[in-house]
Amino acid sequence: MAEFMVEHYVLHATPYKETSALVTGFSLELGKIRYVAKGVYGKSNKFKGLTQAFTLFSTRLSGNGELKSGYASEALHKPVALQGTALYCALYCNEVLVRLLPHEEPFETGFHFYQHTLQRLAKEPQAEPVLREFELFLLQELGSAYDFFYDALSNDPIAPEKSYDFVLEQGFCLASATSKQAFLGEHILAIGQQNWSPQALKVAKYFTRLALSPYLGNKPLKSRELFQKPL
Amino acid sequence: MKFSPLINELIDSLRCLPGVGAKSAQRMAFSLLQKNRTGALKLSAALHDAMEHVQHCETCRNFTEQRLCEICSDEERTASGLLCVVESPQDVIAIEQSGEFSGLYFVLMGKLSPLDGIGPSEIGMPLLQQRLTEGAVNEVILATNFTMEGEATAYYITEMCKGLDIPVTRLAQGVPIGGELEQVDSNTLGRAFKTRSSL
Ligand SMILES: [Zn+2]
Repeated sequence: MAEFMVEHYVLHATPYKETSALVTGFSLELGKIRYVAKGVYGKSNKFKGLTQAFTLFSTRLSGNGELKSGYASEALHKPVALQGTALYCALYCNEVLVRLLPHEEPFETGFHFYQHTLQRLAKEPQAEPVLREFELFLLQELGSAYDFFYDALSNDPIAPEKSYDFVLEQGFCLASATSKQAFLGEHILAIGQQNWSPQALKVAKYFTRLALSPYLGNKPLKSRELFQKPL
Repeated sequence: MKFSPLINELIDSLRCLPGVGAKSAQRMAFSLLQKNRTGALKLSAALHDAMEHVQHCETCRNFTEQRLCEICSDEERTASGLLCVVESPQDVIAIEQSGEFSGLYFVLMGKLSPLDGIGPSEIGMPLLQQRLTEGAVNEVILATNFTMEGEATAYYITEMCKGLDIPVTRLAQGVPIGGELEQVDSNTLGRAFKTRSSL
């Protein structure tokens, strides 16, 4: 049976049988992986806490099937210090990744971007630009590299003062007169330049939600509920 | 080997117990049939009664067969104005055993965990909000676990309390009594340093 080491972050862990956990991780070597972390909830707590999110682990895996077995884990650093909204945002990133990463397809740039995103969330006071850039990165890497500078139909440069419709898989094209949810050129350009004004952030949030929807499926993301103010 | 339908049914049903697989279910079924029918009948009645009648307390969500659990019915505890938020009924038992706390509880029956489909409403946040709005709580003590999800849950409740102007405290963390420093994991030790207290 093949045995190998992976460096990974735990995206999600659920208890499995009495003392084990079923882990979905994002690894440097293999992209998204699934494994059973044996005995992590056991009494001999040598591996206790080794299914915490936002900590880089080195884990020995074995198995050839889709579901691997995980043995010794070692934390390579302390958990990224995420608090409050930053923690919500990081949980959101995890939910997005669990939904859209393909199984065992190496995605090294994605791994590094995720790592970088966690570190930014821990440090930067504004989480929103970090999240939007994370989503835009994913869109681009998943093959939906939308053009924010040229009209998808006419190829004319996006004009700041004009309105545009967004069409999935095509991009932005000059809005028809009846269009209700058009994007203003100015905001589209700002997204392309990642030049974040409050308005650009708001529009970017709406845009990424639309553009990611084919990858995320119909079920709403649960972590979005965290951001809604209590009743 | 084939068992009779009733035995099969019993073995199958026993497997809903946590940690019980096919082999142990078989062992349990035969042991009960051979050695302890009285105990097994008692178990079956107790299981039935509990499953039928145990509900959630209307104010704290802990398990009880009454409308209000025993703790919530205690006037002295209610008068304290203290509300301790915990993840599970087991946490209530642990805190009760410490004998340190004489206020009321709110039992989340879980923790915020988006990937498990558990959001604010699944852990009773609307009910907690309602309780806090009613004005009988002077301090909320957060005793959720020190895991990522526990912290996220604590933060959610903190924000709710801020909006209602209710003071919030979080259980302190540190080195266990009787614990040796070299046995304590580095995160706990780090936190113990940060929250050290003067003597
Ligand atoms: Zn109660």
